[in-house]
This record gives sequence, C-alpha cells and structure tokens, in this order.
Amino acid sequence: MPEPDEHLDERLRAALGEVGDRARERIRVPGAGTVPPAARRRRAGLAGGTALALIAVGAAGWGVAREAVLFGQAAAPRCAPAEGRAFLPHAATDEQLARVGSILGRSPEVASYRIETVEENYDRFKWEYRDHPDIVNATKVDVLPRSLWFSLPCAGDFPAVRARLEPASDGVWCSCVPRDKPVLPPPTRTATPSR
Amino acid sequence: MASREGPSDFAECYAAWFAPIAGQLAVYLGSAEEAQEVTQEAFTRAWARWGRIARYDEPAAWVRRVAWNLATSRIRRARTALRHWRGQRPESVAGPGPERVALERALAALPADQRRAVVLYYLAGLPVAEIAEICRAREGAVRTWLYRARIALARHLTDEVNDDA
Repeated sequence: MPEPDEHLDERLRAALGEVGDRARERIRVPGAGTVPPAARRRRAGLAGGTALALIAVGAAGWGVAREAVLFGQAAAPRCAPAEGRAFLPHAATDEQLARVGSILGRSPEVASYRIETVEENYDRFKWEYRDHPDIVNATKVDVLPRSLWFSLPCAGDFPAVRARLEPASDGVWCSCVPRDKPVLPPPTRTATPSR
Repeated sequence: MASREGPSDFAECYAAWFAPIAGQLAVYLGSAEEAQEVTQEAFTRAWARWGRIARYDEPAAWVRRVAWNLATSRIRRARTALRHWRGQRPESVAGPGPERVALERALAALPADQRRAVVLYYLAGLPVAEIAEICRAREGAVRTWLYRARIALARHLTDEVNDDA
C-alpha cells in the first residue's frame, strides 16, 4: 500500500472538517441535567430490554428542546406535514410487514400509509442515484429493505409513531422527511388505514 | 480534538464532549438526531458508573467508545436502510455548494468501516492504533480502510478544484 499523500490528507482533513462543522451545527445538547432521570429509568427497567428502546426512552427525556429539532431540521415548524418511512429487513415476511401496517392503521397521528414493494424501492433507489452508476451497479435489489410510507399531518408526531413501530418487529427502522421533499417515482401499491 | 485530557466532573465532561462526539457521529450516521440519541445514551451509561470512570485518565474516551459502539450496532442493524435513506434526506442547513454535497454523498456511500475510520481519523483526530482499538480491528485493517476511503473521496476533491478554477 502506498504511503498517504500528505497534501491529499490535508485537503481531506479540511474538507471533512467542514462537513463535521456542519453536522455539529445541527447537534442540540440536551444538558447534563437530563442524564440522571434517564439513568434512573434505565435502571428501573422502564426502558425495556433492547439498546434501541433504551435510546428512545433516554431521548424522551429531552423534552421540548428536542421537539424543535426533529429530523435534523433546526427550525422545522412543529406541525409541518411530513412523510415517514418504516423499513424492514429484506427477509421480513409479509406477516411482519402487515403487522407494521396494522400499527400504522391504528395510529391516530397517521393520515394514510402505503406499502412499497422491494421492486418499487429499487426503482426509487436507482432514480435517486441515477448520477452515480457505480453505486447503483454495486447495489443489488436483494440488499434493499422492504418499506412502508406513512403520511403525518404533524411532523412532531413522528417520535411517537416510531416508538410504536420499532418494537413491533425485528429490525424495523424508521425515518422521516418534510413533505416538500419530492418523492419519486410514485408508488403503485397503496393501502388506507382502517379507522 | 483539542485536548485529550477529560474533566473529572460529569457535568463538565458532558458540556465539553457531547457536541464533539455527537457531531462526529452525525457524520458517521448521516443523522444529527441519531447521533444525539446514541451520545445521550452513552453519557447515561457513564453517569451510572461515574465513580469509576471519573478516575480514568480520560473519562471522555470511555464515553466516546461506548457512543461509537452504540452507533456501529445501530448502523449494522439498518445499514441498507440508512444507505438508501441518506439519498432522500434533505439538506437541513442551507449553503453547501454542489462539491460539498458530492463529498457528503461520497462519504455516505462509503462502507461503514471505511466511513468510521475516516471520521475517527480526520474529525476526531485519533491515531490509527486507537481507531483499531475502538473498531476491534487490526491496525493494518484500519490503514486499508483509510487508504480505500481516500481514493473514493479524493475524486470529489479533484472536482472541487476544477470547479473553482
């Protein structure tokens, strides 16, 4: 392996430093005072058995300050509409997908949801990375997750919905973007939650 | 990293290190929110053991290690989902030029091991030996990750120079 180019190293350090600075600007520090209550809840076992649940409960103690910085949006309005997404591992069964869909259907915060097939997901992936053929070529359809989209009239409700979804099945992972972000191509399979 | 000596008081340690650790993790995870969560969890675990950790030469190093372990566990569990989702995340801070977005995308597209090594080396300023310890890998493996990551990221630096010319 050749020796690192010192000039390249310096430029990388500077460029990545800017990326790091931008990331750090988005960080909100909850404050040391939020730690002891979270630790007590953790010790009492109220936070559940998994690391993810522990993190979720710890985060719940952040309070109002955290609600203002949902999804990395420093100044996002509390009730801005948003699109949420729940991912399941590629190997998830139809039953697991239906279970997550059922929870979404029963969630009062969710206006509607739809299931996206792996093929639709792959099409979306290829479209989004159309300028990066190397990434598309290196990513096969069988590594992509299964997913459900759900519509949130109020982005501030996302943490509550996520806390309900992620324990529902192994490997569930949720994320959320503001609705003004274009979502293409349009999904073809839809479902409406029962009320 | 400005100083490797951590304060012994928990509140001081928290105030001094939460943002740096969370900021580095945000680059690794691609999400400020996730980074805040794992950093908070790491400090919560530290608080429960603070009597012992405070006696370490570098209490913040313990927190950093736990935070990175939590982040790595999380990213392994949802690696493909995260990789896909990153392309859909909007920029939350206005202003980056196209070359910076390209660099961030390239960083996000790196394999997790390479991205972790890059962040710990270039942002946290850790030596290869310490990165190897955190990653539970051999130093040679870390050097390989850094070498490959440099090649992948350097193309975007070249574009940046051409754009400016």
